[in-house]
Amino acid sequence: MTEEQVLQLFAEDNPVPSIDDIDLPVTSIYLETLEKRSDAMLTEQTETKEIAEKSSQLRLAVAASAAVVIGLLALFMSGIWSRDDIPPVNEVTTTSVSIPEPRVEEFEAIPEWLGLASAGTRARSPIFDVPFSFVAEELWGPNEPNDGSSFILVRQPVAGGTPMPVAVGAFTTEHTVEELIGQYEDLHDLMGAQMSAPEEAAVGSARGMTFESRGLPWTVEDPQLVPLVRWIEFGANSSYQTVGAERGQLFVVDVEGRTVVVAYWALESVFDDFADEALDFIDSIEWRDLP
Amino acid sequence: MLREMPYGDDRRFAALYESQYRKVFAYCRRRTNGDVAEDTTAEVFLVAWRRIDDCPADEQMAVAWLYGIAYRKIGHVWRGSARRKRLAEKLSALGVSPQDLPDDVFLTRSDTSLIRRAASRLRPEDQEILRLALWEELPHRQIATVLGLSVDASKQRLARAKKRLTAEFNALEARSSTPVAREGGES
Repeated sequence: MTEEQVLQLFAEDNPVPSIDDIDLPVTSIYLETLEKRSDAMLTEQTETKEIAEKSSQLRLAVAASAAVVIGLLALFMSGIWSRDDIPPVNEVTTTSVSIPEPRVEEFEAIPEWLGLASAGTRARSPIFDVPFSFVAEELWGPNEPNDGSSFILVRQPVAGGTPMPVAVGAFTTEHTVEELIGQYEDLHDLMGAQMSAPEEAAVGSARGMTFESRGLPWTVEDPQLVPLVRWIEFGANSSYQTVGAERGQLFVVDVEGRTVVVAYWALESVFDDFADEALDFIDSIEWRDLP
Repeated sequence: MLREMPYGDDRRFAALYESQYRKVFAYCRRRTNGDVAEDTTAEVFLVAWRRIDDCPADEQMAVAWLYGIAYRKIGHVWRGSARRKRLAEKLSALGVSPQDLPDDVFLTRSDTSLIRRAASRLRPEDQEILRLALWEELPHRQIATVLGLSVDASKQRLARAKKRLTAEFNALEARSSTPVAREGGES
């Protein structure tokens, strides 16, 4: 069946096709219900908070006791004290235990060439010349070599997985968005690769065009196609060069007069599974200069 | 009448409630059974009542805002249901009847049509974006608000979800038309 037919079937499967038959509870009665529910919830929250506070106090007491016991044991074992030297309990200083506050959002500059950002933290490349930040996920880290005009993250392989199957990246170019789109069209024609019709798109607040690329070989080298050559150059000494990138989605956007390409690439076989994760990365991009 | 409204503007909330209750209830009902839909709708309006100042003034975006709350509430329901299901499986292995537990609430309808089976094979995120587009008939801007995505990301995800649903449906259809599947049934 065609996509249109399948979607029609799905739409017809709507278990509540119309809202006309739904009764609207009388507003005042419903509001009273909400108020009762709210009161109940507040009571529950208060009780939960009290339990949490008691639990926290208990944890502190246990931790302090444990610290005292461990300290005494260590001193005893080291022979500093004989049994007669052990002071009365009321003279022992207890250790205070601080419980760190949870981290809401952290920022870190990912060191170039190595290392992974901590998952879930907002991060940036310290040398990419169009400042942007993004939320790093687990297993994602910068690929070498990055420089001021390009930045690539690769997803580290999971145990037993395909090595370096996917990458996302950004790079700057001197071409305008329109020029670059034209170059990509020429390149795909030249290589017999497929390029979807460019559509309007945005990355963060930067607007531009997006298209999907399929079947473009990684071995393309053409000095006129600077951005793609950069990609290839990055691949020359890295393992994902040999794996290849069979399919990609490119966003060519204008960031305050600078053209930036943000893209993700993957093997055809894993592209769909990877796309959402890559889109999360792209969706998290903010074009601003963070400290 | 209420003795006092502790949160927000009661008239604004009442207007929101009267204009959007049916839509929110339908949203919840499309994803859960009747009782849970009522409870979840109440939870959604409770949040809306407390946070009425955050509600967008634009009516279409207000719907998306309410759906966004409902989406997260139903996520909690679903996760609770999944936990109960796992517990039921464990108890079943111990010889305790799963019927002793509350019913599962998420998509328990008995109809197992091909399209529903195909949809159930998609990831929850894909299922949800398809429902928002094809059942709630929301435009991309509102879908993006519900799911907390950019408009472009929601467009791309919807396009991919459509492709995946079509692929799953066609795969199931092909399998169900083979002699083995007809005789033995789908496992």
